[in-house]
Amino acid sequence: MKASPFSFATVVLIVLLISACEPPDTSERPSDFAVLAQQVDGFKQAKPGNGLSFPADHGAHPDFRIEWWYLTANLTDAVGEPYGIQWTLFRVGVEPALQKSIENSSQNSQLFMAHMAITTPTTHLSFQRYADGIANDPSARAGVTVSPFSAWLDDWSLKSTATGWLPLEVHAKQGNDAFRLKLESDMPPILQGDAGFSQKHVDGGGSYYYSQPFLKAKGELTLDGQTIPVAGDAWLDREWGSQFLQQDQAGWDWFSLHLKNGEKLMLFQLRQSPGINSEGHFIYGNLINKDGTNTRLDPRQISLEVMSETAINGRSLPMQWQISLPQINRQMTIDALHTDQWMDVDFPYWEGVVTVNGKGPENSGRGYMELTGYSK
Amino acid sequence: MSLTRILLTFYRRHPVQALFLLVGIIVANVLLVGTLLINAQARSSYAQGEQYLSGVPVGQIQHRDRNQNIAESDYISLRRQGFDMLVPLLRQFVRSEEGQMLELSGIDVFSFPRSEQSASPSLQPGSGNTNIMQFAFPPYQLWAASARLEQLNFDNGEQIQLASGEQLPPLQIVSGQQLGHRMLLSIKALQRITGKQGELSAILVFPASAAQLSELRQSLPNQLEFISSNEAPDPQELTRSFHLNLAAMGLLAFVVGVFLIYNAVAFSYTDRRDLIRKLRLAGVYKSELLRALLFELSLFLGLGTLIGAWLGAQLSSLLLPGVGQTLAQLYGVYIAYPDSLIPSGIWLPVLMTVLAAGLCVFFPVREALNSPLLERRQYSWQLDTVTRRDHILALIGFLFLVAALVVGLTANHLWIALAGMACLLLGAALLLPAVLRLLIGGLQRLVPPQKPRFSWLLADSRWLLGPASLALMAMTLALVANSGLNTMINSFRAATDDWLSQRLVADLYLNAQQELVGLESWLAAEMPEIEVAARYRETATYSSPSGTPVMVELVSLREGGRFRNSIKLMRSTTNATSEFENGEGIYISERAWRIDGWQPGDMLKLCENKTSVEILGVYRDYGNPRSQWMLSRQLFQDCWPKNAASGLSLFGPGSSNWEQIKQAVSARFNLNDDQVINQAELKKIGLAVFDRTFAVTHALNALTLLVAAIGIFCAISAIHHHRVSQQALLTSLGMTRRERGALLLLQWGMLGLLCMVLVWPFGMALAAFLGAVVTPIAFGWSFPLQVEWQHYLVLALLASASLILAVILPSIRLLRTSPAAMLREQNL
Repeated sequence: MKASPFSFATVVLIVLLISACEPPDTSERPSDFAVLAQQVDGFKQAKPGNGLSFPADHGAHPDFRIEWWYLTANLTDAVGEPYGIQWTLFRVGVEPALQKSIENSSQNSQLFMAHMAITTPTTHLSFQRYADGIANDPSARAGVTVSPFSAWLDDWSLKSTATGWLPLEVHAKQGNDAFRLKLESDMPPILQGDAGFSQKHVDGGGSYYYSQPFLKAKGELTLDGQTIPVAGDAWLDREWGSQFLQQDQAGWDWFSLHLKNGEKLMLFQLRQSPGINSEGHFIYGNLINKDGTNTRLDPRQISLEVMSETAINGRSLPMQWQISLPQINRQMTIDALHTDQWMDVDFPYWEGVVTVNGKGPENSGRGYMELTGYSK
Repeated sequence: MSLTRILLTFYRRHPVQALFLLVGIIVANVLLVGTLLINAQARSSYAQGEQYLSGVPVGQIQHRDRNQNIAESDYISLRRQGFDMLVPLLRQFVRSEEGQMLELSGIDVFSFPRSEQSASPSLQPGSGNTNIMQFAFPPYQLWAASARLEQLNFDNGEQIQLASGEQLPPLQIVSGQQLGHRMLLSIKALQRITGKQGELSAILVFPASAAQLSELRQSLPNQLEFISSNEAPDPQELTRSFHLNLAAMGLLAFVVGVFLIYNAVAFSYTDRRDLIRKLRLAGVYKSELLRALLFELSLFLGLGTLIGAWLGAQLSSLLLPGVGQTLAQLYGVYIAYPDSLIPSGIWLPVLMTVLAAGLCVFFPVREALNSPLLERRQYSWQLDTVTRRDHILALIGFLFLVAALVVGLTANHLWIALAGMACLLLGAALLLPAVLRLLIGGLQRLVPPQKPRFSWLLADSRWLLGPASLALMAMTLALVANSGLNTMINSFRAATDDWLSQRLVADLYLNAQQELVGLESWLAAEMPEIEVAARYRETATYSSPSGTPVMVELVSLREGGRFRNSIKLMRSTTNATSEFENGEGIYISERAWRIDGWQPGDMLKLCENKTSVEILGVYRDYGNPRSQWMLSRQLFQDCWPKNAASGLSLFGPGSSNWEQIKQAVSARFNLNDDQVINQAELKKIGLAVFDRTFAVTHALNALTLLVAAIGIFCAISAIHHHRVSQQALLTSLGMTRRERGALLLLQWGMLGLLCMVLVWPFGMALAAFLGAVVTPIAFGWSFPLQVEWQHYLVLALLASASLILAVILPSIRLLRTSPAAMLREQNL
């Protein structure tokens, strides 16, 4: 799924904002991306070998700088028309230096940002909200609690409906547009990377990352006051860490795909900035088998080829891809459902429904694609 | 050489004359443009509505009991029901260590609606000079308009120390946020600094669909209500009187300027009469001459109005923060202090100046063009002509005064009252020449025959009234206005001072809104001699006798002689006091009586629980721009049984040590300095607010005087320029320079002092008019006139000094010129 990468881009910008809080001794300040790559004192760093523990890790990790709860769903209505929804909550910790001057724990030290989007067969709606607060105050405008699990900003929420982690219910509403879906699965969380530590750099840095890709979604969309019953596949990504980016990385292309044979395929590439060793895109791929086991793909045997680009909001974005995975003998094309799935928020990106086309159920299906860091 | 250039050679030889004409035009424009721009700026702020981070709310959610704050948890619960158009607001007044009153608005930047239809702050980096993140997180920022910082004398980045001991976040100058008088900071910071954690003053409601707004109304908890911006009092309506007064001061300066224009124009045409005659003899048509003269005038008007408008714009941005402060304190309305002023309405002063200048030149031009071609030049200031003119002026002046008197007795509208004031001012000015002539005539009879120099001086002064009377009239006008306003402000201040002393009967005032649990029992145990009185307050809308809805403040008055005596009734029915205490009737403020039209004896439906009560009396309520009704405490509680006290007052025997009690109460109930105020401090704050309220009036008043002094200086210098022949004559009669100098100074000093003979009574009359006619109509406050002498002595000195100064400079040249040269110069 796409969750983490594009979340990256967005979070990058937020972190830039927060970094701007530093005193203006910017004479030696490196580029914006370098700021992101800086190690910020006072936050913990993600390291391999720590393992994840549930249910605690469903909740917030304020010791880490950045975190998100990222849900996408590919849905169809009664007559088979395709729809999609996105629900995301980001948490960013205020710099420890600033936290020191916060006199008591009830003062705000976290910024929450939420995005919601609905894709219809022809259109796309996107909205955003913000709130500050502490990480886990149930009486606040935004926060995340573990037991029972709930992540919310105002009335946009993702929460457990029973005593356990699953099933979940996701809800968001803006004006006359809304969705409410029940999300169920009997599969445990899938740990990405090395037992939940997802390496993002050649030199070993990364973040904690798990997914819940087998969620079955059922519920309704409301579009301009009209209710449409829908059902489909949902994918939840959870990721947290304190240091994400390399100075020479420009952005991300991310795919979370539900294949017709029941497998889930996750692919991403972190693109090097143009001119800097353009062969060195950091590529990662994982095939999640029907039983929840992972088949880690060799990056050298992953080919992501752009077939066509479309001008969207002043940027040229790849809307069609050819994916070749000789390691598992797969070949498929990825097409955007339609090109109008631009997230028109403060930190904009493209995030939307795609179709997977190829020979047989193992090469076809649907999913979400995220494209970030494409400059005008 | 073109005709215009020939005519303009006059100014090349006498550049000072050109300067004086220009100064007249500028003077007419500066204050007029300045006040117009201020008013236009305020109007545009009112039209835009109250703004927060460029967003304009469509209304506010408030507690039904206006004395209570909203619980933040109610706000969060509404947000979590999905009402994302809500933004929490905490409004607090705090005092700086230096005693400045600061108005702070705490908001949550992250709660601004992010949907497309409403304006919202961008969180993207580098938008303007503001950084949302620095604003929202510690150490926070305090955003202020740069004009407000200048007014408070703080620097960007500075942290204001408060009287309560707390410190505000570092100041950050921001532009384009329409902040004006208020300063903006994160609500979390403000809640902590003022100890109001979990409390909100209001919830701002930003635009949303009608369906959402109606859903919001239905979802509000019982104690909260939605007030749409349309239902709130219109600030333009509320402040109309204030802006009208401002405009009146601009007009006054305009009139002074017009006098000066006339003076300068008249001289320039009289002096060029020979030239014009020669040109006509040389065959130039009258129409050509007229065209050339009008072209010349338009050159002066163009340049003068341009400079005047520019100076006026500078002046208005200088005064705007003062006006904003007054409006905030007097009416609770806010105007923005923009980086650049809207140039609206500039055409009006230009047009007025052009028209006035046209009138000014009409007679002098006609006289200059129509004078017989073959006659020798005539003195235009022949005594009999001038005396006749003065008589006519005096007659007109007298008629103006009669009009002023009639208006004063009958005026019921502010425009009419201000017109009456203008009549009074003009009447005084027009009477001046005749009165001066009379006075000098009287003095002449007193001078013994063996003092020929004095006799000459008086006779010459009498002649001087011809050319100088306009300049002296302008000066008198400015002095009357200045002294009248000063007397008015001082009388009003004295009345307010008395009134505060009378009204503030308790010794200690507690402003804590949270329940002071156990205060009474604690006091009974610790200080049995101290008593507590709760104060109640409510706001409601009633229909006035004329049928218009009026928002009325209702306050309670505690029983007991101490409180009863604090209310002096201006009007009352019989048995008012006892019926009031029995809850059979209420008192109303002077404003409710004068402006809204309720009368003693009228019956009112006060609330649902009461059938009808009588209006028993009228009391003064200075400084309150709203109408107020006063009820006995019992009656108040019958009507609004659920209202919590808005504050508590402590009082006790005179021997009590209130400083000690204050400290004990503060310590016991954990109150800060802003929540416990003793009587003396409260009075001091009240008077400080009064002084700041009139700061702009004072400033404008001083400016009028300054402008007049500049004008007088120019006019007298111009006149004096024409007095060369007299000097030559005196020299040829054997007077030394020293003697001539002394005579000159004596002459003008005397004229200045004689003007004061008019300034004093008319200044008092103007003050009385302001206090008894204008202020009651504009604000609903009347006050007795307080006579003062010192100010007039100062003005007399000022008038004489500016006249003498205006004479000295040109005189130095005169005194040094040889008699022969002087006499030659006369032969233009």
